[in-house]
Amino acid sequence: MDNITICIADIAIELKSPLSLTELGIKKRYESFLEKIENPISKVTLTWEESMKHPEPPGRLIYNPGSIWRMYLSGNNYYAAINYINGEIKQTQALLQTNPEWNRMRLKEKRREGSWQSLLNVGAGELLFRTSILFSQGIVFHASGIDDNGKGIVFVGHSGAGKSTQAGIWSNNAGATVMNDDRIAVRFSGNQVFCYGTPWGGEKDIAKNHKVSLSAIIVLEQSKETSILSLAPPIASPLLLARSFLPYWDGTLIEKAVTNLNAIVSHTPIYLLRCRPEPDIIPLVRSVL
Amino acid sequence: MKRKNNFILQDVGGENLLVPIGQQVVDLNGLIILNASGRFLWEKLVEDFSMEDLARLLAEEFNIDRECAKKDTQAFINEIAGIGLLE
Repeated sequence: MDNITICIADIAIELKSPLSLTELGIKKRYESFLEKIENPISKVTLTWEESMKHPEPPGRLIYNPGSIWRMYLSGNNYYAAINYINGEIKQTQALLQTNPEWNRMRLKEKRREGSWQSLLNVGAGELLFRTSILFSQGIVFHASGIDDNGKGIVFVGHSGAGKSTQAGIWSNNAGATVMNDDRIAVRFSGNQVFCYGTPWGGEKDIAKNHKVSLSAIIVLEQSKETSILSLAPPIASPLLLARSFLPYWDGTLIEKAVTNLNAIVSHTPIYLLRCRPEPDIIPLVRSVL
Repeated sequence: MKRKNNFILQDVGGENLLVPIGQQVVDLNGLIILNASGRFLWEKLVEDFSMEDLARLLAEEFNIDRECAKKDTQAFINEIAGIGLLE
């Protein structure tokens, strides 16, 4: 089959695979991101290969966040061994090999019998994107994102903070488009900051291919009393860092993430919104944009 | 005493943030913000220092009296030792 280009946050991921998106079980996830843009900010090549046995990672274990995946280092290459199958710990199903720049990758994957879906659909796809965006002045937040009449609002928060609820409230409002309810990419580019929907949605699985100039980042906190406070960078930045997806296995990548975050924060108003998740919050948020 | 190596100190929006790397992330599960004296002591602890020497260096750097520096140094060391940041 021909190579397929998946474009997320202006980053072109060229997928080379003997199987089609349908055969890989990832068509639904990526079909709205299959676009060819003239000048992508960066290009990533990803070669998918079938492995007849469970692929084994080489090198030494450098990061083990739990049961789903582990990161190994061998020479200059990183190897992410991904084991996640329906919440159970299994042998490695997919092995993502990447160069240190995260722009040349290979995914070896063992197919399972019956209804099968490549781990590119979730874990492997997300990991490669959220790491490679660090090389394009970007970062991925645990956030929902709204395009409110051309003004991008990113609501960041840990699980349960109200990201999906905000998405629901805004979705019923004229002129507002919900881009994603769980993963938002933000990039600093040419003295401007943009936010983007990604293919990985949350509770409601809202995952639109949508880009808008960023007007504000809002840190969510549930509270009985409603208030919105402007946050200075020294207060805002650590809160945002803790609500982003950091490459904890590599100090150099962490430095990139921090550089990108600092650039974003210095060009974007940040607020703390304490509220109960109710529709009357919209005029309050709009009042600060 | 000496600090562990698996942290990087980053200026995040003007704050001194200690970010854990590798397996330390799982053990610590958080980020640590240091004030100016904490940053100074953390940077010194890349080498092996006694409490007394650290307090003396802190007193010189911030132009404070030795007793006060001793108290601050002890408090800082207790804090970071308590969360496993020392070797």
